[in-house]
Amino acid sequence: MRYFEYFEPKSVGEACQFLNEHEEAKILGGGVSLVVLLKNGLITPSHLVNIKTIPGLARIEWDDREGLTIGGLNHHRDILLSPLIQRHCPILAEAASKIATPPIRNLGTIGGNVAHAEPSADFPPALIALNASLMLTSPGRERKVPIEEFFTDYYENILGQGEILTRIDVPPLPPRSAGTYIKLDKITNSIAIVGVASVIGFDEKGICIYAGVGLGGVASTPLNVKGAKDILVGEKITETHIDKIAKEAQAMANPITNVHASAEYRKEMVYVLTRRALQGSLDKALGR
Amino acid sequence: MDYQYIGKSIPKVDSAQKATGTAQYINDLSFPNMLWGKVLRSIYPHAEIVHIDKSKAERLPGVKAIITAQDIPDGLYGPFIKDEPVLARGKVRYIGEPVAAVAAIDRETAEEAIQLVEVEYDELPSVFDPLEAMKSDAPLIHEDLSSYFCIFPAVQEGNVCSRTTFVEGDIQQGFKEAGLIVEETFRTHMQHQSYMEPSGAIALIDPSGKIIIHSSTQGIFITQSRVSESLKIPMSKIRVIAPNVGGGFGGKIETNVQPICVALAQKTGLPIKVVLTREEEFTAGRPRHPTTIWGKLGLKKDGTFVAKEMINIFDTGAYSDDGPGVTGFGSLMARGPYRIPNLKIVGNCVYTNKVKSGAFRGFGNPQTGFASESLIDMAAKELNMDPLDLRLKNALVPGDHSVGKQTIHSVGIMECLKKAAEALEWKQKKGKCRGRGIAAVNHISGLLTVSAFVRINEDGTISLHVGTMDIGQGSDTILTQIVAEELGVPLEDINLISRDTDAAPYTWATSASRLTYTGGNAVRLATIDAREQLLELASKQLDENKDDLMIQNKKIFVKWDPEKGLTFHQLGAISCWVKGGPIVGKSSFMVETPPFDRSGFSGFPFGTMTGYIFAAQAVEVEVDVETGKVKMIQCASAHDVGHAIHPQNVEGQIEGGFVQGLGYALTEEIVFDGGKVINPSFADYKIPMAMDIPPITPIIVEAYDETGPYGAKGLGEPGLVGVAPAIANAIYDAIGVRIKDLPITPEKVLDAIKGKKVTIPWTDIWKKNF
Ligand SMILES: Cc1cc2nc3c(=O)[nH]c(=O)nc-3n(C[C@H](O)[C@H](O)[C@H](O)COP(=O)(O)OP(=O)(O)OC[C@H]3O[C@@H](n4cnc5c(N)ncnc54)[C@H](O)[C@@H]3O)c2cc1C
Repeated sequence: MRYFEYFEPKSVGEACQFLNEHEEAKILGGGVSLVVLLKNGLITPSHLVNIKTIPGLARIEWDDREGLTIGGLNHHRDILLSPLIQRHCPILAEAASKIATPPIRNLGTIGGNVAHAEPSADFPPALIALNASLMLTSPGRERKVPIEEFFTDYYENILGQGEILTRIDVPPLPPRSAGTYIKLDKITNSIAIVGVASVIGFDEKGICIYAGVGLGGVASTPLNVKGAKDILVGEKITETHIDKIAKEAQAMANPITNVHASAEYRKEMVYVLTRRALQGSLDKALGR
Repeated sequence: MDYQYIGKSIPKVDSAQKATGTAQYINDLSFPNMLWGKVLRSIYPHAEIVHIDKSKAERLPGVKAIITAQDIPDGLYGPFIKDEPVLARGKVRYIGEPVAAVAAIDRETAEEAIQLVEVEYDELPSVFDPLEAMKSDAPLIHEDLSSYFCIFPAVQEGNVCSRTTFVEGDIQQGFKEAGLIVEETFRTHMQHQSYMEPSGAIALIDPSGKIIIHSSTQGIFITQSRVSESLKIPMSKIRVIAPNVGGGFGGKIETNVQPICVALAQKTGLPIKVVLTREEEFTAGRPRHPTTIWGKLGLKKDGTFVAKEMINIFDTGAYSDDGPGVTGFGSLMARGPYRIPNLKIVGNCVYTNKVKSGAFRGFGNPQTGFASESLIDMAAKELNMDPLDLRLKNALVPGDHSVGKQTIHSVGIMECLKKAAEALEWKQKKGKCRGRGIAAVNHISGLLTVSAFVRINEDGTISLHVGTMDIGQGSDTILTQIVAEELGVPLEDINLISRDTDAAPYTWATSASRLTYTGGNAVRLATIDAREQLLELASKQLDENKDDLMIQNKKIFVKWDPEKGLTFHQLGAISCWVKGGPIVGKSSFMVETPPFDRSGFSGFPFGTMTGYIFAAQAVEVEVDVETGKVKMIQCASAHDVGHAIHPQNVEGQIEGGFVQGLGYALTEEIVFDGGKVINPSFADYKIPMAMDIPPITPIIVEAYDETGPYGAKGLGEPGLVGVAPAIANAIYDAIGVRIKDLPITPEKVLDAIKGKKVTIPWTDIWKKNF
């Protein structure tokens, strides 16, 4: 039978300390993914550390210089409804709207969604396209890492013993910018067969000054299509640019075949959807 | 005709319970000292059981009993062919087959215990594809097939456990007359009923030794009979009670865990609960038969159908279950609601080493219907005719015949087709990559028996005893409406007593879209019988001629002298205490007429069927030619129900059926790797959700049926049947590619757009052989 002990820390420090001392302990965020693993016997933690009881880990704030800060414990629903996110990076709300159903969105947290490192999750591609960083807190230490460096393999990340994802930082985008997240799913909001996020920003002359493209569901981790920046920044975007990035995205993709789709299909869709996501952002940014 | 209750969408009798969450389901029930049962299942698709070692599991604290085939009687059970043991005996035939069962103090202990039971297997060659299984050198899955008891004269050969054939006219001659012949092979897949409540039961033994089974079932008497035959217990010692059932769609007609539950209760003497997990539902439930279907349709140049030949191969899995029925019925329906003078339909029900398939909304009709209705559109294209017009040209009219030459008088198919098409503005121009498709459906709703008693209580209220199961489809409401109508009493005065084999008279299951027609007839006749007895009694007591009496407001009185009368209360009391004896109206209804002309039938496992129902589903889709995704734009589903006794309920069934058909067509599929189901969860098996459901226009067509209660016929199944072919036809209309292989996934559409050839395996020898 499966037994575990349950712990409610009062502060991040206490939580980190506890996690450090108990190697088999697991962080409990919204519990949406964790409880499924637990029930199916895929994990057998000695302790569950419920970080939802820690004050201050759920907050969405904006600073003109630093950009957006989202707490690790903000629920998907918070992100869907936040006026700050609507104003400064609506693509995150768009991604949130495509996650499962209201009950899941009410319980699941963005920190959990990222930490779970499911390669098809919807927030990571959007956060990659936004060039977001993660704040990882451990006893006496904080480190800020670019999101794409966080993921290492299927359900694997760089979190060390006793480390908690406390915050997500999104730098400010240029005033004329837009993002699009496209999710190809079997039924509405089921797991992404392919997810593509694109964010593009322009100067007043219509020259691209910011570009980011993130992919989900097509490799062992979410992917950053780094070429997007090189190809687009400094340019007036044309069909040729879009095609080039879509091809690069496709070349990066290394998907698997499962019951939802074949690897070949996924790979083909990376091309189709990257084009659509870029075109979508372009149209929005240029007010078309 | 003016009715007080019939034709009115009154609140369903169980709606308050359902809406407030007070309705009790099997998992809400619990008994003192109840144990949990859990089933150990085969991990091989085909293997000898060499040895089972229970000792480790027996030593686990909390384990109360472990049973294997050695511990229980050797009865075999099944609805058509008695071929299935309760626990595997000698060998296993599919991954998921019950091998042993454990009773323990709680679910966790039971789960742990089954993992400690050690089974040594010796693997046997297995076969998963029914076409392979039909070959003469295929491994035999049931060596003793010929010795099994069959309830009908089954035609059997090798792994074919039942072959049904229908021949009418002369197909050779028919195809000679044809100016156009279309021919194609189709394939359909395995779909699960996906009821929200998994199958389950609780068995206990009362002090007298009687076995009481609380069963999540569509048929209390079927549970009783299967437990009786498999465990060799007389039916008089088995009482089956059903709580509310959280959906069935055919999957809960036959038993699942019930015999195992009883065997564990017998062994321990304690109440046992067994409820399947979702994973067990997917791997050891009773899904829809996958099929391979070869069909050939001959038409005159003007579009008149002249001949049709079809060979249907139904993959029934490791046990026949409802397979012979599904194969036979699906093949009977394969002509469709059309006149086709020359016909040969052959259905093969074939064993393979997979989970057994069984009854599921449509009962073989969705499979053959997909092939038939696709063929018609293929022909329409060749003839350059509108597919709607081609259907209308050949559609049945009143007075036409069924396969088996029954004259059908109530035939609303033309109106269904026209109205469904109209709802989509069929002839209007379409947008880019948009297409429209339609499919016609025929089905039955009269089958087998229902009996009913209507008792007048001492206080004049009414007890209706009937064994029918309302599994959400609304039969309790319909049957109550009928009693209310015939006696003129309010619904609150009627006590519906069903769901208990000790209290209700025999009824065959909730299945075959039959409870309104078949059950409605029985309840109506029983109520009329009770009413006549009431009038008889009143006439004696009032000393008035029966014909001079009338019934109103729970009172019987002289037509021209309302003061001279007796209330139901008075009459009930008189009957119970003074005169005549308690009033019990009764009916034993059996569908017997009109009989089939069986001269062209062979191996058909049913008696008479009637209450023919008709439907048409029409859809408009938009295809994303880059992703292959099919988007539903709008849909209409028209159903000839004879007379809608509860219109809102009819609409609910139409919409629900449509959505389940949508899942069948596009996203739902149990996927195998060899004999192993690789997607046994709702994370990987995708049913449509609210957001996936397009606007559906339900259309009620009423071709009054003289033989039905108030002219009514059934519903339930046909709402699903035409959806997949309508969508396939719409996709063809939109982008000119024909999908012959269900489900219609984006990948298949994209492959077809790219011109990739899909060949569905087929061997022409079958055509000669039968
Ligand atoms: C039915 C269903 C459908 C879903 N559909 C989607 C979907 O369409 N798209 C999508 O993106 N996701 C989907 N998910 C996943 C969902 O978004 C989860 O909410 C999310 O993955 C986990 O968030 P959580 O807060 O519940 O984390 P938990 O389940 O509590 O934890 C998940 C993992 O992350 C760790 N963890 C949690 N929080 C932290 C933290 N702050 N720091 C470090 N580690 C942490 C836990 O230890 C655990 O290993 C679905 C989940 C379910 C059950």
